[in-house]
Order: sequence, then C-alpha cells, then structure tokens
Amino acid sequence: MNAQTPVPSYLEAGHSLRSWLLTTDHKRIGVLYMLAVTFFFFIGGLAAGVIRVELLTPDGDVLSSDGYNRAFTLHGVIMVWFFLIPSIPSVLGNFLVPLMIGAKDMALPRMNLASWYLLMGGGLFTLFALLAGGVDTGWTFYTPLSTMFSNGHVIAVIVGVFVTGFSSIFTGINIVVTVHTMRAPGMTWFRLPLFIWALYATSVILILATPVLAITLVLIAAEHLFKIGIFDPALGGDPLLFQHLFWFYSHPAVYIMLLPGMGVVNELITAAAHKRVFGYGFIAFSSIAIAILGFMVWGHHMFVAGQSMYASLLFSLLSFLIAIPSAIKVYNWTATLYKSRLAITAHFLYGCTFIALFLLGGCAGLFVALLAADLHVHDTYFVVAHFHYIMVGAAVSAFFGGLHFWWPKITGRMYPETLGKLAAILIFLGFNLTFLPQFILGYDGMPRRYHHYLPEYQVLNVLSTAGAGVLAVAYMMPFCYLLWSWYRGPIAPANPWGAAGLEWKVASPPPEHNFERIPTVDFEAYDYPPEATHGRD
Amino acid sequence: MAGIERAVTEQFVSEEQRREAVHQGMWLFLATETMMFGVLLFAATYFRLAHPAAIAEAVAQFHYVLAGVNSALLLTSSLTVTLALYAARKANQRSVQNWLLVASALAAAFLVLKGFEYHSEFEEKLLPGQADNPLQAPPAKMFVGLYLVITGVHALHVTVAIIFALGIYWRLQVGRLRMPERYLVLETFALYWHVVDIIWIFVYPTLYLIGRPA
Amino acid sequence: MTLPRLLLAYAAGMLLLGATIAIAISPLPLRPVWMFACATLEAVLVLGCFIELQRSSPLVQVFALGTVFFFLILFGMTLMDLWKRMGGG
Repeated sequence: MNAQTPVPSYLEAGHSLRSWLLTTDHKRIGVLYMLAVTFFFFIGGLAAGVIRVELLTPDGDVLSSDGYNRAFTLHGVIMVWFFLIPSIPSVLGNFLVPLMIGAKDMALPRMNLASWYLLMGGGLFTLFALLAGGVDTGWTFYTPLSTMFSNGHVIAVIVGVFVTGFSSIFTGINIVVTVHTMRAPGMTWFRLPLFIWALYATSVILILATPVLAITLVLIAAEHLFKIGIFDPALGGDPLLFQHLFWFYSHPAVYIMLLPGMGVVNELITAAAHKRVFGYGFIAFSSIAIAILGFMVWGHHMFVAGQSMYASLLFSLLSFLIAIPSAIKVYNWTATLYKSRLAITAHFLYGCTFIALFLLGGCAGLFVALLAADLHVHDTYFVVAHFHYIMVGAAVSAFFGGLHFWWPKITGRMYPETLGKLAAILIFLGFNLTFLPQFILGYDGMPRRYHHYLPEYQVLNVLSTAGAGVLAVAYMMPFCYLLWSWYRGPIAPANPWGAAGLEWKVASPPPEHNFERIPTVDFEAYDYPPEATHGRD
Repeated sequence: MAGIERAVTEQFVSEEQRREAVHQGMWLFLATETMMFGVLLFAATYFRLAHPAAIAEAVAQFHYVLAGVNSALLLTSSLTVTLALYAARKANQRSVQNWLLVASALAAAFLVLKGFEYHSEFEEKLLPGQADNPLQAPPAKMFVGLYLVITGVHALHVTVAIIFALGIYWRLQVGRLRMPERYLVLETFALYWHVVDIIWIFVYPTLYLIGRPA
Repeated sequence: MTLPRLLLAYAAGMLLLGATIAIAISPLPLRPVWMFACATLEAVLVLGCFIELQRSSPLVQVFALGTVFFFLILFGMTLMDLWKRMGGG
C-alpha cells in the first residue's frame, strides 16, 4: 500500500573485497564457505578421477604404488576435512540458522569469520603439503606407518588438519550457543525446523569429538619427531591405542557428515510434499540419539585390529542399535509423502536420492557391523562402497539438494528447473554405476587401497570408472547452471516453493539484518494447511 | 557496512542475552580443553595399567616437590585472578591491573620452575633419545616422553593465559576497556585461567604422585 | 562470595594440595583413590569458590560438568578393552 523503499539485500551491503573478507554477516560467511568447499570438492574430485583411471586396468600403470597411496590419501583428507565436514553446517547452517530461528545473526559473528579463516588457512596449507609430495598413510594416519616409516610430509598435513579442526569446533560452538540463546520469542524447541535439531546434534559432536582428533594428531607429531614410543610396541607403546583415539573422533565424524544431510532432507521432503513431517518428535530425538550412540561405536573399525573380543561384541551390538534411529527417520520421511500434494522438483529428487542411497548404504552398514561378516569384508571394496553410499550418495546429494532448495534465498535467482532435475537424475545413475559394482568387488575379495588387482576384477572396475565419468559430468552441471543463474537467472520471489519456515518470510535474498523486527512465533513448525489441497500459487 | 571494525553487538536484544551467550560459548570451548587433556591423562592412565613397574621407575625420577610448588603457584594465581574480578566489580581499575600483574608473575614463575625441571631432566639424561639413560625399562623412557608432551601442552596453555592477562592489562591501561562496563571480558578470561589451573590439579597427581614409592 | 570466604577456600585448597603430596609418600593403601579424591575436592573448590559455577545458568552448569561425565564413561570403554587384552577376567 505505502511505497516503501526496498531494503537492500545482504549482497548489496558493500561491494569491496574488504566488505566480504572482513564481514561478520552470517550470510556472507556462508557464501565464503560455499566458495571454499566447492574449491576443495574439485580438488578431491580430481584425485578421485586419477584413482578411477588407475583402476581401469589390473596393472598399476598410471601411478607407482607409493604415488597411488598419496593419491587416495589426498582424496580422503581433502574430501573428509575440507569438503564434507564443513559443507552443510558451515555453508547452509551459517546462512540459515539465524533466519530459521528468527535472529539477526549468529551469537558470535567474529568467531564465525575466524572459523572460515581457519578452514582456508588449514586447507591451503594442507593442500600445499599434499601436492608437494603428500603423504602415503591414508587419511587414517595409522601407526606405525605414520610415526615411524612414512617418508611423506606427515607433520605438515597434520598441522593443516589440526588448524582446520578449530574451524569445526568454532562452528559447533556458535550453532549451539545461537540455538540456545537467540531463538525468537515463542520459538520453542518443538517449533524449530528439524534442520536445526540435526545441526544442533551435529554441533554437539563437533565440540566433543574434534578435540580428541586434535590431541591425537599432536601425539602422532610428537611420536614422529621425537620417537617417544607411545605407539611403538618395542618401547612399551601400543599401536592400538592410536586406533582407539583416532576412531573415537572419526566415527562421530561420519555422523558430523551425515546428520546435517538428514536435516536438509527433512526440509526438502516436507516442502515438496507441502505437508507437515510425520513424527516430528521422533525425528528430532532420533537426531540426538544418533549423536549419542555415534560416540559409542568406534570400535567397529577395529574388529580385526587386535581389539579384545569383549569390546568387539559390545561395539557390534551398539552399531546395530544405531541403525534404529536412522531407520525411524527413513520411515517418517516416506510416511510424510503419503497423501501429500507432491511437487516433483529438483530438490525433491535430491531428497529421494538421499533416501534411496542411504537405505542401500545403511543396509550395507549392518553387514559390516556384524562381526562374522566384517571379518571377510573388512578392508575390501565392500566397505569403500558402504561409506561412499552414505558420504556421497546420501550426504553430498543432500548438500546439492539444499543448495538448490535455498538457492533462490541465497542469491535471489531461480536456477533452470529442468536442468536441475536432469542433473539430479544423472547423479543418481552415475553414482550407482560407480559404486554398486564396488559392493560386488569387495564381496568377491578385492582389497581396498591397492592399485593393481587380479584380472577377474577388471570388468566391474571398468563399469565403476565409467560411472565416475558420468558422475563427474553430473556434478559439473549444477556448477555451471547455478553459476549462470546467479547472473542471468530470473529474479526469485520470497517464497518460490510455497514452503513453511521463517527464512521464507523474508525477501530473497534477505536484508543484511534479516528481520526488521524480531518475529514472535505462534505457529508450529511446518504449518502447512492440513488438507494439502491449496498447494503453491 | 558490516565489518570487523564496527561493534557487532546488534545480534543481541539484551545485555542479559549477550552475557549468557558468551558464558555458554566459553564453557563449550573449555569443554574441548577437557576432552583434549582428558585424552592425555587417559593415555597416562592406560600405560600405568599396562606397565605399572616400569612407570613407577620413571615417576621416581620426577621432581614432585618442585612440581608441588608449581601447583601452589598456580592455585595462588587463580586466587589473584578472582581478586581482580572483585576489584573490577568495585570499578577499581588500578587494582584490577595490579592483580593481573601478580597473576601473570605467578604463572611466569610456574613456567620458570618448569624450565628448571626440564633442564634437570636433560642433565639427568632422562629425555627421549638421550644416551646413558638411567631408566632401564623401555616403557619408563616412553612415559617420560608422554610426561613431556602433557606438561608441554599445559605450559603452552599457561603461556596463552599470561598473554591474555597482559593483553587485558594493556587495554585497561590505554583506556580501551573499562570496568565494570566490560566485566564480561575479564570474567571470560578468568574462566580460562581457572580451568588451566583445574587441569593442572589433575595432571600433577597423575604424572608425579601415583606410582611413587611410599 | 565474600573475601574472607574466598581466602578460606584458598587455604583449604592449599591444605588439600599438601594432603595429596603427603598421601603420595605415605604407606596408605589405595593411595591413587585418596589422591584423586583430594584433587577432585580441590577442583570443586575452584569451581565453587573461584568461578562460582553455581551462580551460572543451569545450562552452563550442565556444559561444564557434563563433559567430564561424558568423557569418563567413554574412556572407560577403552580402558576396558585394554584390560581385557591384557588378560583381565
């Protein structure tokens, strides 16, 4: 009615490099993180390409054995610490948490900016070390290879990962404190979007697990430099202690990589279905349950390492238990779709991809949780396939789905929907072609981290590499059309999907301080009309 | 324009909210310190259980009296930091600064004594890699290495605490901080200091006293 | 906390430190248990009288103390594995 001058968006609040590099605006920091993780994804992806090309033939003819070790180490280190762990929490989390809870920013904005610099500093330092010769230990740094026999740049890579660990810790602290203290009036815990519950659970893990990694890395460095003997049996040390300490962090770390993806899928599914999620309470508490149980299963990585049978039994049982909250989520998402007014959008396809591939990967997880089966498939491609189904098939798909879903909010532009759907389908096909053969390869006995293999494994390896090629093209597509859309895409409305949530009540892109007045929340989460007959206008 | 040089308190609606947020943030950070030192003390306990006799041989060589004096110094420094907080509540800037200096001096004395300790261990050829090590059992030598890592990491934290203390002293000096308006800054710093003290309260018996012959 | 009480707490802390050392060189049985108890009491004094944790919000108290319990439970599992591997029954 009254012509108000439109409030400038956060993108227009300053155009200098300085305004970006010294920003404390959570939205800009989210964008900075997006650029960072995209860069690292490319590097890790290139390494994956090199690995798959090597594995086209049974002989190790592209790389030397040592070179191959360095290649898969680079792939693992970059993808785990510099892409997957920061991807959803630091990109989408930073951007969305204040918007979703009705706050003007995160609780600790300067710490937020510091966390980005720690990622960039640690990441570039590690990348430099990995490219200047790298390390042959695998991302798992097992002793005594890493402490006594490796001739790679172990210390340099460790320093980089150590620094980046603090980026994770700061992000986790910021999210927990923000959710505790900055919720808008009326935004009770059970009115929060489930994405927030998932990120909260993730942040608890980030805070409690990452320091254990940090100190374990310090111990490797001390051992490597001063030959102290903590992990050396000849000096009374214990290599298994390293594995306990390492996996005590690294198993919860996989839930750091998975839980945010589950959080995103909640949003994708409910928005596509225009229906309140089925079993809100169950999904919220299952996120917490996964975080807690995730701390108690690390020994399932050590079934054949010399751990006591007693411990193995306990860890196996707990690993089975953790499947339960995950399964509850899958059932609830599926139930949400029942009798819904479904819109088949790109983000919905990514949500489906997550559910399907998580299901397959999760069932494979039950196999490896079983002691008797793990004896045969440990350190084979079966395990490689299992974790790629979860980390790539599920988690990366969720990240892409979230990027697409919130792209209009972040950039104020719409991406080409048809291309979006096409890329999602291509990702699903390419991914399965790459990794389904690996389940069979592993079951048939092909060990992991070997670059020459028996000739009878070649056919499946060729299929896998072909799939990787398709996957590469499929991942390039969003990179191209999303980038294009930022400059040339149609202007996005505030709520292009007709979705529920506070973030959709502000303009696309949001103004610098999010809300002119902090809203008072008197509605439930996902307050879609009960009969989803109205759909989107 | 948003930026690091401008005050960033706009995200808070009240001072109460800000205080609570900063407190929670600091305690969560201290939780990470608990996990880090927890792992180190755990490793020490792990090896004690695995090689009790060898570890006892190593512990017998440690300077527990000197380290006991260090414990007293650190506890006293915690007292002086608390006294700085009391002075801040009474808006007594000078007193705050003095107590901060005393605390820093006590912590610096801790580091000096630690240096003497390391020096004696070097003289006694106990350090990893030194020839003519009087310790016989390999796990004993290894435990000395672990002791060096644990006390070294702790000493690093003490150093950081001193730097923070002197930083606040300087900011008070040049008028960039005023008490009691910026009490939160001092309070947060004090938390860090106290937790570094608490960590030592557990490090001391774990490394120096348990396994000591009667 | 008044100044006299603070000083009393400090004195108690020093006494506990002395007690810990005395226990270490005494012929008492179960010395690690007693020493750990003294250390815990000293830590409680710092938490209660220097930091005054009891005056913080309940959530802060949970963060502060919860971590310790969490850590104890979990590393107990690892120590259990070591004990079993060493042949503990």
